[in-house]
Parts: sequence; structure tokens; C-alpha cells
Amino acid sequence: MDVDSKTDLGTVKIHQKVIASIATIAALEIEGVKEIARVADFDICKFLGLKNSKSIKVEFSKNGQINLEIPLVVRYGYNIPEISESVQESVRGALEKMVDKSPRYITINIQGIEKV
Amino acid sequence: MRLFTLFGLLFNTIFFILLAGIIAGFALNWITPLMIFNTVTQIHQDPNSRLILGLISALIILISISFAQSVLGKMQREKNIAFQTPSGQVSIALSAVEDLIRRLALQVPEVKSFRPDVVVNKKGIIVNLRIDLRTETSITELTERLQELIKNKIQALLRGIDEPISVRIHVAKIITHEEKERAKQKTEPETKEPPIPFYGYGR
Repeated sequence: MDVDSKTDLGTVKIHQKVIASIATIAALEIEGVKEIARVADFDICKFLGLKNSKSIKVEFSKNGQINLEIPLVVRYGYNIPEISESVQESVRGALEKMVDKSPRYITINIQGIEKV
Repeated sequence: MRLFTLFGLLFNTIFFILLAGIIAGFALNWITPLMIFNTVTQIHQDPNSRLILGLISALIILISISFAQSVLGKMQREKNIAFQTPSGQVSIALSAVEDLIRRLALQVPEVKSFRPDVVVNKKGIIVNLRIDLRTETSITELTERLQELIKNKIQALLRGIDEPISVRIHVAKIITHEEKERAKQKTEPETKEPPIPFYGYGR
């Protein structure tokens, strides 16, 4: 699914991959974030190749609002609630700036701490 | 999803009851090997029966995978520490907290090996740490130090979450000096004789 916005000349469609990329870059800018974690679930659609397996989940609600789910691996020694809030603010800011859309919910899943 | 889980559960139950029934029938001699052979031969000779059997097997595989996925997903969802922020939810996997404890335990030289297990329930965050110690260490002092270290670090890392943290340490093994020596001898390779120069070049 895409984000649609109408202009005087036509429609601008932004693919959800673009939203995920913006969110990835914005999340990685925060100090203490090591990487975007790979989610190891085996959805049957993914298993059959009907759905792309992505790390960041982008969902659109019926009224066109964006919901994001970001799995993260954080660096050792940083405060997780602070990092999570910073990531949420950074992603929100980046999407507002680049796509002119503010996500409704940004869910952060801390999947791990940087391995030794 | 709840309906699907129920359907999966029902399907699995019926399937295993049928399978158990066939095995019981075979054991009680109600089903003879000849009957099984005749049925299998009949299915094998008819292409339509083989096709139906193939489709049934594919269906069983898909239902089993989906069922396992829904059950595993439910288990995964439960293994989190979650809190709400104005922008959305933050959930921390318990495996992430276990990673943190592994790093902390590595900082204590007296600990030889360790196995952390983190549980969250109504009482709060419970850390169960199973450790193997080196000798020449005071266990009470060390465990107290380790408990303080883990508790403080988790509190610092999860600042803002007011869950009580309790650290349970179980000393599983104390490695003595003799055991260390024995382990060393096992790992050390046997001393090889020095090779004779130009050995094997004769005519």
C-alpha cells in the first residue's frame, strides 16, 4: 500500500518501503541504537513468498494514518526508555518533514542488546 | 485469530485421535497388514486418489505451520516488558535483558560461566542467574555484589519503569584448582616429537 496525496497536477504516491527507509535512517541517527533488528517470525504468507519480510512494519489505517513498528538492537550502557522516546520523536520528525504525514503510533520493540 | 487457533487445535486433536485409533486397531488386530496393503495399493493405482492424498498432505502441512505460528506468536508477545509513551508503545524483549546480564556477568572475573533467565510477572522483573564459580572467592560477598550490579544496571537501563527487580542467584558449581588443572591437561595438545630433517627423502 502507498501513501497518496493529491496535488493540483495529480496524485503523489509514496510506497511503504520509502516510509520504512526514512524510519530506518531516522532511528539509526539516535545515539545508542546499534541496528534495526531482524524479526524472526514465520508468517505463512512470508513462507509462501506472498508478502515481503521487512524489519520495520508499516501499516496504514483506514483513514490513511500511518502506524509503525520498529524492532531495535541497542548499544550497551544506554537508557532504553530514553532511546525509545528519542527514536519515536526522530522518526515522527523525519516523516513529518519528508512525507508531510505524522504517524499515529510508533511502536518500538527492543529485541536485543549489542552482543559481546 | 482466536477462531483460527481453535480450528487448528480441533484439527490437530482429531488428526491425532484418528492416528491413535489406527495404531490401536493395528495393535488389537482389528486392522490387518493385508488391509493396510490393499488400501495403500488401491490409492497408489488410482491417480485421482493420489492427487487427493497429495492435497490433503499439503493442507495438513499448512495448518500445522499456521497453528505453530499462532501459538509461538502468542508466546513471543508474552515475553516482553512494555510501557507506553506519548508516541506509542515500547516493548523490550526479555532476551535483550538477558543479553545485558550476560555482559554484566562477564565483568566479574570470579564467575566462570553463567546462564541468565528473566521472567516478568505480577511481582515484577525476576532474574534467575545460574553461575559456575572459580574457587578462592567468598560466595556471599560475590553474590551480593553481583545482585547489586545486576539490579542497579537494569534499573539504570529501564529508568522510568517502576517494576520491582529481584535477582536470584543459584551457584551450580565451584571449580576447584584440581579440576582446573585437569581441564587444562585435557585441552593441551600432546607434545609432538620434533620432525627429523629430510626424513623420507631416501631412495
